[in-house]
Amino acid sequence: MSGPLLLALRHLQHRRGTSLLLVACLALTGVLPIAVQLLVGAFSTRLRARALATPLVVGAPGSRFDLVLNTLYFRGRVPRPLPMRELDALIGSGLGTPIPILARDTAQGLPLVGTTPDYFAFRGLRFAAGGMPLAVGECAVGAEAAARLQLTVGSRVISDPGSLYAIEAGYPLRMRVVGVLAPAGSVSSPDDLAVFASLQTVWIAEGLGHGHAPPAEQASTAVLRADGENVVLDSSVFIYQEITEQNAASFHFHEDPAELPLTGVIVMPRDTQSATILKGRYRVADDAQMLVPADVVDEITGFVLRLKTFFDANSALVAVATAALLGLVIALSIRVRQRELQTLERLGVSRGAVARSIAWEYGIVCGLGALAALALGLALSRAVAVWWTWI
Amino acid sequence: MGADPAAAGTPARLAIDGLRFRYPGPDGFELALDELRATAGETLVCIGPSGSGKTTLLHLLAGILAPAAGRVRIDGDDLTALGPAARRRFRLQRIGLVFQEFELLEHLTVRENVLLPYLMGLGRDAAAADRAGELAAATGIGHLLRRRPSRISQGERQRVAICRALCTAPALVLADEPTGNLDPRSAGQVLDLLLEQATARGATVVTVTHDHAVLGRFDRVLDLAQPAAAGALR
Ligand SMILES: Nc1ncnc2c1ncn2[C@@H]1O[C@H](COP(=O)(O)OP(=O)(O)O)[C@@H](O)[C@H]1O
Ligand SMILES: [Mg+2]
Repeated sequence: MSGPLLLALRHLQHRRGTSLLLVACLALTGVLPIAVQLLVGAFSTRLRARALATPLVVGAPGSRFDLVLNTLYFRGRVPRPLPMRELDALIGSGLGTPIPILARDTAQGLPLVGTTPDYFAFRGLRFAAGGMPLAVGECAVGAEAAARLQLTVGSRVISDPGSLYAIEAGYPLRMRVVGVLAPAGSVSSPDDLAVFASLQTVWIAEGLGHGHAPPAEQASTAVLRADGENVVLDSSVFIYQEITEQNAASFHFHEDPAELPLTGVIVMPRDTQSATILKGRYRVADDAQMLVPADVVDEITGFVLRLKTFFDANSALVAVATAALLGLVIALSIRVRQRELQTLERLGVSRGAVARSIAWEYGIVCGLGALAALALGLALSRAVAVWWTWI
Repeated sequence: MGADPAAAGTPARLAIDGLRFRYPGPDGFELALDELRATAGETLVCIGPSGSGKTTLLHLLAGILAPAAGRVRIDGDDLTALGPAARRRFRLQRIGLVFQEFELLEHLTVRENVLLPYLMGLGRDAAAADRAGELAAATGIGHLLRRRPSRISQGERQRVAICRALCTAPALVLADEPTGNLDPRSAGQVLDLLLEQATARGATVVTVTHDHAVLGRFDRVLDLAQPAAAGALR
């Protein structure tokens, strides 16, 4: 170890409190800009990656942000329903492969997504266990959903009651897990945290289709509890319906099948020309809209990036202020150490060696501050990213 | 040196000729010393009332201040011919300094304080480390090497400063009232140690003091209060 470095370390050690305070101040100044930088980066890349992988989206007229966020990420405000006949029309056009999405309900707090088996192939999702939910009453869960709710093949997932769209539903639907997805990628994706089922299953969960069988016997007895003279409903236990081999045949839809709702349709055009034709058709349609998700996501990230410009400007000002304060602190501390520096000068120590020692000292403080800011910023962005795990 | 007949055989350790110095300003203090010679191992004491220029003289000898005219040579090397950076280097290598207020670095251990010239310029040196150990033992601070200056006594602090000054085996040791902050008993011991250790290593010593009781321990006295003193001292 060089002498100037040793002196620097000794002085830092001697003035531990002050040194730590300086490091903490620098860390606190840096942590937010670093975290925001990382988050915005992760946000836009993840958002974009999924958007770029989704060529076209069809939905009911309304907010394009709502449509894209719902169809791709199963989040945000629910778009107006798109009738099934639109899907039939897309299939009939032969211009591409449509994948319907009905994502406006939840099951045990996670997005409940009604779709077709094509979806899994389209997103390149693999099953870690089991397979696709083909039959009514079955579901497949994302890797993170499985971990969070401790689900395996054979477990049950209950759709959440009180959903705005469960118009006629008397009881939530208890679904059988027939597949658990492998993690969708290195970064968490919306697919990791969703419950997938067939469209029919979700319509039943919404109460659009129902069977004329009473709720499962064991379920209704489990919730009844004698309390003195009264029989009360234990709110901690759900009453639910379940589709079994015995009652499956009794489930039916009163509504016109062409009017059953979707929230969006992902369309993979057959080729560029088909895409152009489709876009042209939807440009003149007034009962549906077609969007290019990448364009919409660019618009969203554009807003975020513009907001971030203000934040960056603020960060720059804070950095300048911090640098000025740090300069002041260094100047003051050198003044306080005037006597020590004079002694070194009188002994014949070169100015360079003294400068090196001081540079080491504040270099170490700044370095530690920067490292701490980076570590905290990373930790913070991770924590927030986990919280925003769907991005 | 050839111009100095008195030291034709043995070159003077310290040679001052026609030294003139003046602090800036209209009534800046002026110091003049025409000639002074000292040999290796010789001990000089500089006395004079406060403000008579004792510290100024030591600073000129150390190259901390540069004279307006005249020369200061140490072992024949002209200190006054050097630039500020070279004077510093010269001082670090060839001159040992002891101050009234000790001037130890509080954040370093006693050992690191003694080896400070090596840490801050002369580089790692095994012989210096050995010398530091010997000096510490000889001055009775061998058991304090790992302590901080704040945790030893005043007398011990000045012993550390003496070790620091002698560690580089300097040609010249300059001590500015080294015992001014010590109680009389401790002062005597510390001064004896300084002179003993310095002369044992062949260093020439110039000490400033207020304490006339200690003048007998030096080879020669330089009284700045008497204008003719310098000449008389030769
Ligand atoms: N840096 C300086 N600038 C101007 N004058 C000084 C400075 N240092 C000392 N002096 C003046 O020089 C004179 C001698 O000072 P000094 O050498 O410190 O005396 P001593 O050590 O004998 O008490 C004093 O009159 C003092 O005021
Ligand atoms: Mg003085």
